[in-house]
Amino acid sequence: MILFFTKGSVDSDKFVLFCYNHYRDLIGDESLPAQVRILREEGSKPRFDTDEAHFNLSHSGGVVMLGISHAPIGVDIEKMREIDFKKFSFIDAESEEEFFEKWTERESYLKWTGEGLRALKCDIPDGAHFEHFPVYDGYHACVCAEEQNIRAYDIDPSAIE
Amino acid sequence: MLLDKVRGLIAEQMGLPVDQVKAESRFIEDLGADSLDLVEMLMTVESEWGLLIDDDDMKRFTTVESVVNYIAEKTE
Repeated sequence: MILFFTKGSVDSDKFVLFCYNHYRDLIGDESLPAQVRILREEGSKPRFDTDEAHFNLSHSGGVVMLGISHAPIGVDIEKMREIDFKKFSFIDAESEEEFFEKWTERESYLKWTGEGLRALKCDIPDGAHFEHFPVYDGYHACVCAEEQNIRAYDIDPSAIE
Repeated sequence: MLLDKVRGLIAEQMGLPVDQVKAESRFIEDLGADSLDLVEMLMTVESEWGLLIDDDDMKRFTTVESVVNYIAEKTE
């Protein structure tokens, strides 16, 4: 899996397609389609028009996080902020730090399954695998996916035309 | 008026000037909301209007007016 982060205003679709090309180069797999399209279907998360690669995107506070992998993934990034976390009864946390850790896990899980917020309070199975990335100060980022090698890159938003 | 009350609530949640929050504003694309903003906003709606939002309804809330319509439906 490759994670791409950028700080700034970018067109989401352009960012995804730009990073897909990077992903294809970095993975070095020429059997991956040279061109992909983003499909959006009612009730499903956006995806590529191929089963060879999967992506998931998250935005928060001016930062974008994108994950691309050979298998389905879910990503979530959140800008940390003051929050009355006790009112989120379905998240057991003693501190804001712990809340953001568990919130990003939950969100990335819901994005992995594609259920989204309609399963907000579901039980997260024990087998779900998460990795956290303290990529920028003041942000929490998490990936939910089967265990795999992960590399991360910071992309200059001006590179995305 | 319901729309104005909801706009005020959302503006406060998002830290935006209220005239930037229009009925047709999309939470994610136009107002820059992330998932936490959305859930927090809906929890505030629940407590303001004494509602309990069904998980299945969560996918409806894409714009400001979708929230207004929901509240109107549930409170009439």
